[in-house]
Amino acid sequence: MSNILTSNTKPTVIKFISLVALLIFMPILLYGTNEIIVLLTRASGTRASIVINTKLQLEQINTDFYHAFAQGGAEPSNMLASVSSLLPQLRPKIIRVDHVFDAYGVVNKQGEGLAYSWDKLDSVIDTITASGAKPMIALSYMPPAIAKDGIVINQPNNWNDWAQVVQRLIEHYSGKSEKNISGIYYEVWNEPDLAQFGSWRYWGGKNYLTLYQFAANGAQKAQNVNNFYLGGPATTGLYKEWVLALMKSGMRINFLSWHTYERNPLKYSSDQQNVISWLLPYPNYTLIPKIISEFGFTGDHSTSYGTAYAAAHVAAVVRQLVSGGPSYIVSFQLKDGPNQQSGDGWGVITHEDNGLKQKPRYYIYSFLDSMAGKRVSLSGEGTWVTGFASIRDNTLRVMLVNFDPNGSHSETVPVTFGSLDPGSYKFRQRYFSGQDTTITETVSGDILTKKINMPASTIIILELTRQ
Amino acid sequence: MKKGILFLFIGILLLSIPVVVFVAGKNTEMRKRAAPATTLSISPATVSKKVDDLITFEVKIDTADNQVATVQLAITYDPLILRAEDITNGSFAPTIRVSGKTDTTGKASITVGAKNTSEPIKGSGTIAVLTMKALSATTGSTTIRFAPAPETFANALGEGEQNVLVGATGSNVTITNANGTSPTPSPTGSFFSPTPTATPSDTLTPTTTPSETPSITPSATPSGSLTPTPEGEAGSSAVIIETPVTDESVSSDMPTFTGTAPPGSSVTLTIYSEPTTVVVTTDANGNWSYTPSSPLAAGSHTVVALATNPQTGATSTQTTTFIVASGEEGTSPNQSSTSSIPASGNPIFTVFLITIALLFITAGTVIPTIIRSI
Repeated sequence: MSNILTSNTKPTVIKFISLVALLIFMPILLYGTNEIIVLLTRASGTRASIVINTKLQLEQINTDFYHAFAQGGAEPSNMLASVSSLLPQLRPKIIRVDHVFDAYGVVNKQGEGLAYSWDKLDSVIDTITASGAKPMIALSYMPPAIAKDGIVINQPNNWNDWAQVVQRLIEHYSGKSEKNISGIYYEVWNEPDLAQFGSWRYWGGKNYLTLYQFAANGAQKAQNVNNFYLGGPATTGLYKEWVLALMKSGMRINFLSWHTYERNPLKYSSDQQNVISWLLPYPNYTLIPKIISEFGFTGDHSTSYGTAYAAAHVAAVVRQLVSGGPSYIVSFQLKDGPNQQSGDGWGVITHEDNGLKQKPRYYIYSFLDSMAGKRVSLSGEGTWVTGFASIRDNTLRVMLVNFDPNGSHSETVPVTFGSLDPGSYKFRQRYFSGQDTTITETVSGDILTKKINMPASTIIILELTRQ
Repeated sequence: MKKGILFLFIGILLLSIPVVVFVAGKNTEMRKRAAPATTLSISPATVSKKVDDLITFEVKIDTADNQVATVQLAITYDPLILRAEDITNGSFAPTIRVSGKTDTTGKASITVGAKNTSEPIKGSGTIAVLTMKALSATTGSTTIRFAPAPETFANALGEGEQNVLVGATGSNVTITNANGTSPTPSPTGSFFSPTPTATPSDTLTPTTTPSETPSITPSATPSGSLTPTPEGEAGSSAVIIETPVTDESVSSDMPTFTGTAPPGSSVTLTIYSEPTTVVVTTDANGNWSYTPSSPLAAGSHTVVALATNPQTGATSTQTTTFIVASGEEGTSPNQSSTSSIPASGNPIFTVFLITIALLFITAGTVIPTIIRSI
C-alpha cells in the first residue's frame, strides 16, 4: 500500500506533507510531554491526615491582620467612592493607596514655590476613614511639578522640594489642625525596584535611600501632627539587600514593607522567617511592624482572580501566617480597573462598568473571621490541604483549605478530633461555597474521625460543639 | 595671699570630690552593664513521666540587666522517645515573631519577642511553652536541650549585633512504661557486634555479652529505680571551670582556661564579649584546657562551658566571669568602643583618680597648716 502511494507521489510532495505533519504534531507532542511532567510533579505531594488535639490550646488568634486592602491608580479619581457601601463587610483595618502625587493633582507650581490642592485626594482618604480603616499612603510618585523632566518616576530637580511635599502631605493628613488622623502608615514609594516605577536601587545615582532620606527629613519637620508610621521599601519582593541597606541607614524606619505575588503559600511563611533572622542583629527592627503591602497569587492579570481559587489562596496564606505573621497582609486590590469585563482584574469587586459584583475573594475574609479564638494544636497537614484550629465559646473550629497552585488536585481528608470527652456533639460542616450541614455525633471513646471531601480550592470550617 | 592660696586649695578639694564620685559611679555603672548575662532554662529541669503522657515544658528566661527584644529558640530532643506536639509563646514574650514549628527529626523552634521597643522583655519569666508526648520509655533519661547559637539567639536593645545569651540549661526526662517500669536495656547494632543503646549509670554496670541472641546481662542487680544525676547540677558528670575563678582579674590577655568534665567528653567554650566558640576534649582524667590564640580585650568577659557526656548524652554548663586587666597589646581604643559588650571600668584610671583626690585632700589639709606655721 505504501509502495503504491509513494510510487504515485512525487518526492517533493512527500517532503511537503511530512513537513506539515511535523509542524502539526510537534506542538501536540510538546503539550503532551508538558502535561505528563505536570502530572508526575503533582503526584509527589503528601495527602493530609488531620489530627486535632482538642485539649492543647495555644495563643490567641489575631483576625485583623488580613483585613487590609490596596487600591491601585487605574483611574485618576476616587475609585473607592462607588464601592463605599461594600467596604464595611470587609472590615478593613487599613486601606492602601498609591499614585497620590501623580494622579490627584496635589502638587502644583506657583511662581517659585509649590501650591497644594487636596480635594481629589481628600475624597479618597475620606472614603477610607469612613469605612473604619486607617489610610496607608504610598508616597508615590514624584509630583510632575518637581520631577526631572516632569516624569513621575524620576528624581526631583531639587531634593528639598521632595522633602517639603512629604512634609505637607503628612501635616495635611496627620496634622491635628487639619485632617487629624492618627496612625497613618506612610510608605516611601511603591515597588521602587521595578522599571515601571523608576528602577531605583539602594546604591548609586538613582538611590532609593536618598529618596527615603529626604522623605524622612520631611516627616521629621512635620509640625503639630498625630503619631504616624514611616517605612518602606515596598519592593516587588522581600530582598535581603534592600532590607539591610535600609536598616543600616540609620534613618527613621517605623515599619518594613514588601510585596509578594506568589502562589506557594509556604513562600509567605519562609519570608517571615527570613526577615526576622536577617534583623536579629538589629534588635529594634525585629520589633517594628512588618507589612506585606500588596499580595496575590500572581501580579499578572488572571481570570482566576474571579474564582474560588483566589479565595482559597487567601485562606492558604492566612493559614501560614496566622501565628507569627506580619502585622498586615494587604490584598491587592479592592476594585478592578475599567474595561476588565473579561474578569481578569485583581479586584475583589468588579468595576462599575462590570456591575460592581463581589468576587469569591470578597467573602473569604469574613468567613475566616469565624476562626477567632485561641488556636488549638493541629497536625497532619499535607501538600495541598492545610488548616488551623481554634476554640471559642466552647466550640472547636477547624479551617481546612485545599489550595493546589495548578487548581486541580482533589482529596478526601481524614480529620481526627482527639482528647475528646465522651458525650454527644453537634458537628457542623460549613463550606465556603455555601453548603452547610449539621449532624449529631456520639463519642464513646476520646476521638472522633470524619472524612471530608475536598475538591480543588475547597475551603471548609468544621465546628464541633459538645451538647 | 596666704588666705587666697588656702581658699584655692579648699575650692579644688571641694571640686575634686564630686568629680571622683561621678567618675567612680560611671565605672561602677559600666561594670554592672558589662557582660550581659541572659540565660535560658527549661522547666521542669527534671521530670518523670509515663509513655503516652503529655509533658508541658516552660522555656524560662532571666534577662539579667538586658532589655531583650527577640529570642529565637531551637530545642532539640530524641524523636524516638519524645514527640513535640506544639510550641507557642509564653506570657513573658507577648508576640510570636516566627511561628512555632515541630518536626519529626527532633527539633522544635519558635521566635518570640517583646511587644514593642518601649516594652522590652526584662526580668524573669516564661517566654515559650513546649508540649511533648512521651513515645517510649528511657533506659535512664533523655535530654531536651537548646541548640547552640546561632540557632538559639537572643538580642537586646542597645546591645548591637551580639547574642546576649550566656547560658542555656535543658531538662532531663525520665520516661517509664505505662506500668511504671523502666525498660531492660537492649543492644542494637549488627548481629555480631551488638552495641548497647544505653550506658548505665555509676550504680549499674551492665556488660554486653555477644551471643546469637543479643542481650545485656547486668553484673549487678540494681536496687530501686534508675536515678541519673540531673544534668547541669554539681557532680562528677558536671563541667567545671577551674580557672579563671569567678571575677578573677587575670594579668594575661590570653588567659588559659582549665577545668574538668566527664572523661572523653567534648567541652564547648564560648567566650564573650566578642563571641568566640571553641571545642576542646577532655583527657582520660577529665581535664581540659584552652588558651586563646588571640588576645582578649581589657575588661570583663564571660566564659560559658558546655559539656556533653559521651555516655549518657547529658549536658551541663557552667558560666564564669573574669576580668582581663592588661590590654596593652593587641587592643586599640577602637576595639573597646566597638565591642558589643560595654567595656568594664578601668581600674588603673580609677586608682589614678583616687590618688589625685587623695593628693588634693592631703594638700588641702597639710599645706594650710604649713602656711600657718610659716
